[in-house]
Amino acid sequence: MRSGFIYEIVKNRYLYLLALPGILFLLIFAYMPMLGHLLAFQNYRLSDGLFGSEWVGFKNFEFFFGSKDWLRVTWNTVFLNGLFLVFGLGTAVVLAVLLNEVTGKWFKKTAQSFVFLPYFISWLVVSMMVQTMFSSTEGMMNQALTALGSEGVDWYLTPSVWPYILTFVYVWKVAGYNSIIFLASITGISSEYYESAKMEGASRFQQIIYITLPLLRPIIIIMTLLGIGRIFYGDFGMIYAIIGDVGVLFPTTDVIDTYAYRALRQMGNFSMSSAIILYQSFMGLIAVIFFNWLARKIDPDSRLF
Amino acid sequence: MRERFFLGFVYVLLTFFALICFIPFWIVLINSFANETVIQTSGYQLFPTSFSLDAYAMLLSGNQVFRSYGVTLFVTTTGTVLGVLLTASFAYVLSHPKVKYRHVLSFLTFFTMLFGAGLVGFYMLIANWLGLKDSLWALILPYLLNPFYAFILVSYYRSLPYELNEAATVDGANDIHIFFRVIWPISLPAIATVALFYALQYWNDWYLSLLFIDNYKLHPLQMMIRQLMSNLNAMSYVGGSQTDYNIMIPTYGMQLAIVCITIGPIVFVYPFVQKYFIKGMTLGSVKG
Amino acid sequence: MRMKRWISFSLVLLLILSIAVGCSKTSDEKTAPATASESPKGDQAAGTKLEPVTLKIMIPGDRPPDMDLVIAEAERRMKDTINVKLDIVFVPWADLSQKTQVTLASGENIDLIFDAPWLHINQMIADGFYEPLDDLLAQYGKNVLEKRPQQMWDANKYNGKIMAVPLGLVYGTGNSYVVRKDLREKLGIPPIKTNKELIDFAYKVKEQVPGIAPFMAAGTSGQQTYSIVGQRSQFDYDTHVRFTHALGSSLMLYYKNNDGKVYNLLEDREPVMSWLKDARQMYKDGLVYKDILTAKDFFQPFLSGKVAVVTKGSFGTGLSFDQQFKSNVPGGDLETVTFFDGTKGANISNFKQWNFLAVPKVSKNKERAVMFMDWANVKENYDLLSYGIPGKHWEPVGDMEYKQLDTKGYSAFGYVWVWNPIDERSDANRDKKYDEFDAVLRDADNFTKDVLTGFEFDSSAVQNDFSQYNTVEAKYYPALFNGVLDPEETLKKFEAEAGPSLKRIQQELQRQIDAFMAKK
Repeated sequence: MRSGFIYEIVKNRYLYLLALPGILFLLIFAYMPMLGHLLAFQNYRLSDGLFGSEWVGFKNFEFFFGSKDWLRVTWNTVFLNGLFLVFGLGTAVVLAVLLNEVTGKWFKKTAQSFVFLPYFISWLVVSMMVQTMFSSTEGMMNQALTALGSEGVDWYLTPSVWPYILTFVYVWKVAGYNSIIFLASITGISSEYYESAKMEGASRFQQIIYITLPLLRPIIIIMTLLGIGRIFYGDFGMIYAIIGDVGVLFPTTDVIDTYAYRALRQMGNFSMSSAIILYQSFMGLIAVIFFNWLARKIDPDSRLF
Repeated sequence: MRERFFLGFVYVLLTFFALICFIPFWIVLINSFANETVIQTSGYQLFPTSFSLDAYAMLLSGNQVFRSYGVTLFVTTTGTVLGVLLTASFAYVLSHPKVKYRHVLSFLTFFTMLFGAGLVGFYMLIANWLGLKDSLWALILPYLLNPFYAFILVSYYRSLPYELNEAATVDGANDIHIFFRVIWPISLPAIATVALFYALQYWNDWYLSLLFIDNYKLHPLQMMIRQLMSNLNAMSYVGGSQTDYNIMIPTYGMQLAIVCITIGPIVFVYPFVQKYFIKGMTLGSVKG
Repeated sequence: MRMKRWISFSLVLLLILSIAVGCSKTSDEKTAPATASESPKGDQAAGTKLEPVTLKIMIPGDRPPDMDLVIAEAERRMKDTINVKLDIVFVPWADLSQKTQVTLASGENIDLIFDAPWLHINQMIADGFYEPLDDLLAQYGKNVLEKRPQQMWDANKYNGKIMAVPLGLVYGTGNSYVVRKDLREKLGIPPIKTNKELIDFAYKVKEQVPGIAPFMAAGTSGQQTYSIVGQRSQFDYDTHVRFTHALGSSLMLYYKNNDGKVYNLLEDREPVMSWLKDARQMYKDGLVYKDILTAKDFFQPFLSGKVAVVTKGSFGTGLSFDQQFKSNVPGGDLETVTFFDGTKGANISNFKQWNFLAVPKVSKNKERAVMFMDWANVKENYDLLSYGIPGKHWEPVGDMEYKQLDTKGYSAFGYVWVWNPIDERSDANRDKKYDEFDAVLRDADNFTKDVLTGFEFDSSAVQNDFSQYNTVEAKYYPALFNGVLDPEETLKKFEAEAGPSLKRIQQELQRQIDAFMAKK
């Protein structure tokens, strides 16, 4: 059995040794507490514990799937995260490429630092800034609109615009952070490629299209796959801070996480909140298995697993 | 000519985006020093009209700040170093074509990202089974391997030419040697990125200390701030209360000051990381 | 090569560090339970010297900078009697629910813990986490019992047992509208006495004071008691509309008069519907601050001088409120208007308290925990824990008042662990205008007893309905109760989305109430 498990371990013993701390970590800190998800199928009582509580099958899922809203909030979650993923990664890639083109050292350093700053502004502060922009009475948008002669808009009563406002805010906040990942990858591209391209008379723009972007493709695919795995998880911190309790905006902005939070906030029911998390994880798993299969078709090297 | 035009376009675009990012931060910075009255009556200002250190004085009063800063620094440095070592070596194995089970391992790693730990199970693991209650290790260990960062590294390692590896294997070096002597130095841009991310993750975390640290002397900075801030609106939780704090609390200013204080790590770490992007540690320079 | 040496160096360093820290931690861990297990037998009297015991107490808040001073003084005073050492853990208010829940669930040793009906006390008691205190209090807690009137004890039992010590001073809430006095005088309007006069004032402001919105109330779901309609219901002396045990501060279900019936707003609309219509009219006429639903702190527009009237959950405004307002609005002046009726029996109360202190079952020092509570309910000790070190943080003014000297070092947070109606002092610098009303709230005999006094609702049978109902309520309620949405239309939508859930909650509540009444 030259291809057996033991043989493989022994043959690559150094490599597996290198991975051992990581494997141990995953076992202890990730897989062991995963047992906690069992309580999604229990009528969990704190005093009875994880193994003593009564098993109730899918009863804890009823509150979610029995409501009229579960499809809508699921759709909102996927739609918003889709927007975030496409525009977030897109902007980050463009940003990284542009930063790489810049020759002035000082400019490059400053610009790089600046685009990273929004990452540090807490959602609470961001939400107050969003309010100063869009509030009906004194909002900057409405002041600008009235100055231009048109009428102000009650932004907080207009649900249709909010997915795009949220996308803008999200991109603004994380594009700089994500661009570092791509910048690191670009830095890793051998300069020989560019030198030979230059000799053949390729313009800077052509170099981007034919060298930089193709070489970034694997990392872009991986980042996309990672994003897809979490596409059923709404960004609670962001959406709860910015939208909060403004019920008028829920039709377009309510995501699974905020919905579950409101449904369960007074009850402190671990079982029902676990059921939601399980639903999100399971859907993410299906999505990512499909897209990973797709990625393997396109580029076998870029698959996640 | 066309090249000039293109470069000019790049500069304009970047300047525009950098300004969009910078101006809100500028507003935060300026207004964290503003008088609370000014913020309350006329909102955020673009240029300073008043000066007050109340928000900072309120945040930084007492010994707790220095203790908390120390805890945060210890947790951040230890966590980052350990996390990077663990993640970089683990990711290397995931990316290594010789490893037969790399796809299984990758899947198992990714799986933990999908199915996070349940709160109760996680708490019992750390507090009861590992006995890490009130230990700084409870703040470090749970975050040591972030699958997201691992996959960034996996993707980077995959882009490296395999010949590097083979050349070293012929020299008779084992895989651990190869990793630290050959792969690590040429992967520094990616490793620096991941190090930065780990540093930020540890620096910004309050959740683990909320759960596992009861001893206030071991509270990191973010936990201290969270406690302070959440106490300000305590009154909304307690009904029928006739007590009154009797002090004017610069709530709005404090929220901004917190942003400025927590931006700490970037000031120290970022220039260090930036070096790796600008110099461009390319393969050529290592080979030569 | 250099890299390798650096790595091995740091690895070794880390290993040493980890062993050092890890060890020092575990040894600490082990000493704590050891001392705890030496707790004395219950038959020892509180007067004799006992072995030292450290009590771990978990309460919400932020640790005051001088907490250690107060603890040292308290431990000094207790040394010769109950000999208790204090390990006080403060939990941020925002995380209180999660933190206390996991702590209790994991069975960690906590000796005293804060809990409340608005948190999860009912669930925790149902799950058997707290020790019944009747016997312990009878034996060790004379002061705890005596410092609270019988009505309070009777109304705050669970299944006939004392499961936690109620922390409270009053049996009803004071409510008012804060009004811009300077504007009222400028407009030549006499002091406001009725709701109609208040609305008239708002219309006058709308007509004659540009740039100031007349009316503001709470627009976030957590604070709907102070919404336009919520606040109005507080002054309903005709029908006594009140919140139910099931829905907290939502009037979708409500009690009326004192008849033990549950009313459903979707079916029995009056009087709430006419209030909703009034609020709608106000909003349509532009009386309400436009961003009412998005304001995170609903006092803020008033404090910055943008609003003429705001709702408030107390009779007076409080010093910091005044201070902030005056520094933001130079030349501005404010007053509060209340329609509270202080006559004996005018208000109905179920004497339920907001906050409690419980002894968890897992505690190894239950006797000592109760002894400590008893000690804390002695006047001078109560003063110490409530206000800090006398002469440093505060000084007494007579027996019932105090003057604050250093609020930064130690701020009053007695409501999370000691509050009782007898020992609590009032701030000597307060606005004394409403002392009379406050005294009414603090005297249980002034209230008409709610027929549901002592009733507790168990929601476990209707959990799914609750969660579904909650999401719909969050969508419409704040807008509906502040006049932002049309009541007729919105209630129709409400009915379509949550009608059946609400109905089932109502029926379950009514069923339990009927059972409770039958038992009486």
